[in-house]
Amino acid sequence: MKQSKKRNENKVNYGTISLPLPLVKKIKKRIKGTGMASVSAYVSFVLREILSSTSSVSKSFSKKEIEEVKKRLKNLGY
Amino acid sequence: MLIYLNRKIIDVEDIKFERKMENKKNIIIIIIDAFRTKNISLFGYEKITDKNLKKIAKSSIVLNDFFSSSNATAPSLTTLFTGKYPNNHGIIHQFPYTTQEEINKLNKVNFWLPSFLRDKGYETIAIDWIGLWFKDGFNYYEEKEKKQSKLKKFLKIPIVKKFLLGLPNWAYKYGKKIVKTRASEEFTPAKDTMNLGISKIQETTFSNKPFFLFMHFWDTHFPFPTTKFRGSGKNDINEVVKKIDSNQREYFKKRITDINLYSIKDMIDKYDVSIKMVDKQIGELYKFLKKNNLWDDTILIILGDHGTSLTDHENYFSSSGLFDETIHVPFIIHLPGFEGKKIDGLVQNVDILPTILDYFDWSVNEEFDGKSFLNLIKGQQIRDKVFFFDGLAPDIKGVRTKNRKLIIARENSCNLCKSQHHKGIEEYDLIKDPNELTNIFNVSSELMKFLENEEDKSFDNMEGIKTYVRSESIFTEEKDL
Repeated sequence: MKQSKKRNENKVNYGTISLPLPLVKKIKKRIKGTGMASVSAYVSFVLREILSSTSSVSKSFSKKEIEEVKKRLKNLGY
Repeated sequence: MLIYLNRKIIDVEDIKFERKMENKKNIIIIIIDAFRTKNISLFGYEKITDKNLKKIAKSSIVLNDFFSSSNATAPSLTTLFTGKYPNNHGIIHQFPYTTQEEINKLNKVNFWLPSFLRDKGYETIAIDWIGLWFKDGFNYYEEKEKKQSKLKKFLKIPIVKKFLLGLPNWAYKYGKKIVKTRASEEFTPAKDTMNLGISKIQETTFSNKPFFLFMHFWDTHFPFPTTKFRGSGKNDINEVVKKIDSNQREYFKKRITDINLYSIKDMIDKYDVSIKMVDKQIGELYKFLKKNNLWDDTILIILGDHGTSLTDHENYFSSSGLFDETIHVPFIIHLPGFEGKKIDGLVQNVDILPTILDYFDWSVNEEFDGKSFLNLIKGQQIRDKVFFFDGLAPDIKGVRTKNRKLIIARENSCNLCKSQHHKGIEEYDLIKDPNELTNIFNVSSELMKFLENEEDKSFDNMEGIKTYVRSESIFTEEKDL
């Protein structure tokens, strides 16, 4: 998978992924008339369903991020 | 076709296009920072600072007795997204006073609203800058589109760069300082926040997904850096500063150094103007939703994350302390299917998440501290008391009924100004003394009897509050305070 240039940490960027053409055709057939916008949307949907096992929160943030937030809050009096 | 992945067996053929087929309502939550009821006409203020909110209120539900569970942003927003009180989700104190222990406790929390909605098929969008754990669950989290400022672009032109490098050292350093100062004052104005929010809604039409949009307006937080305001020219601030207690004086003087306002009235007027500015942008959103036929398919929630003290209780332009001005906040919800009305009855921000789940009839395997307020809308009271935690002092907590309030301050030195906004145990009769000026605490008071005999199960589950309100220490050791 080619990774598009990462513009920032939080924004969702998109990459390209290769699928066998017969599978693409099969997906196109399957999503016809369902309202699913594209093959990409379908693949994203299926993968998200598989990968999302919980709705919990995972707290990970960098030191740089902490410093930036501290700086902004300092300007507000914190 | 069966897929075995991540210890889950999934039949891909059975996956339905749930998000499209269920016709889910969109959800917008708008946070107006440091937003108190006392400065909008919807709650009796003499000035009209809220023209558009009033218009929206006509077809929405306004909860008159809505309280934040904290006087600070980080605990309050964490409550919004977890449905738990600060002592139960962990984040009691405002960042950067949040401890590692508090963050560790949050790590154990299983339910996070943005992640839940994303997993339900929502496009999750946040327009805010605080980041940290708040960005979890959002597909998009930005305060503005990343653009290089004109000034920075100009400074990067090779000939300009060469010229700057040729300057004497003192001039270079001075210039660098100016650029740095300007950068630190970069807060996004309400108009840009709203424009970005609306453009993100427009983008979701391509994905055919419902959206959850969270927008946070910081414009109303002192010193209101995004608000254009011309002061009256009056200068009486030195007289006021002299009267402020010595701990707070230095802090306050530091905060007003660069704001070019020299009277308290001007500062209050600027707060009102900043509310108007945000209100105007909410009006733009309302127009957009109506024009694009989204109004009837969108839940719109507008609230303050906490309130603020302007001059009340000799606390100047800060949300420290747990008097009503810092925790009683406006709350407006447009809930498709429900008529607009104003409702009395205690509610808290901890109740928002359970209400959203209840509205959609989503059941989850999680215990929340909050209660759905759909029953309140239908005429049934859901709470006889609310709880709150001071996010800006080491250890101050409180409980309030409709008529009484109890505040327990153990470690009370304010993290910001080092003043003590509360001392020992305080009780206020909110009917006779709505401004909370006279402490009437005694161990056999009406409120203490009520709390002592409280049988409410949810109260028993309030570990932390229980420790402070019902523990022996309150009723024995500290009764003479």
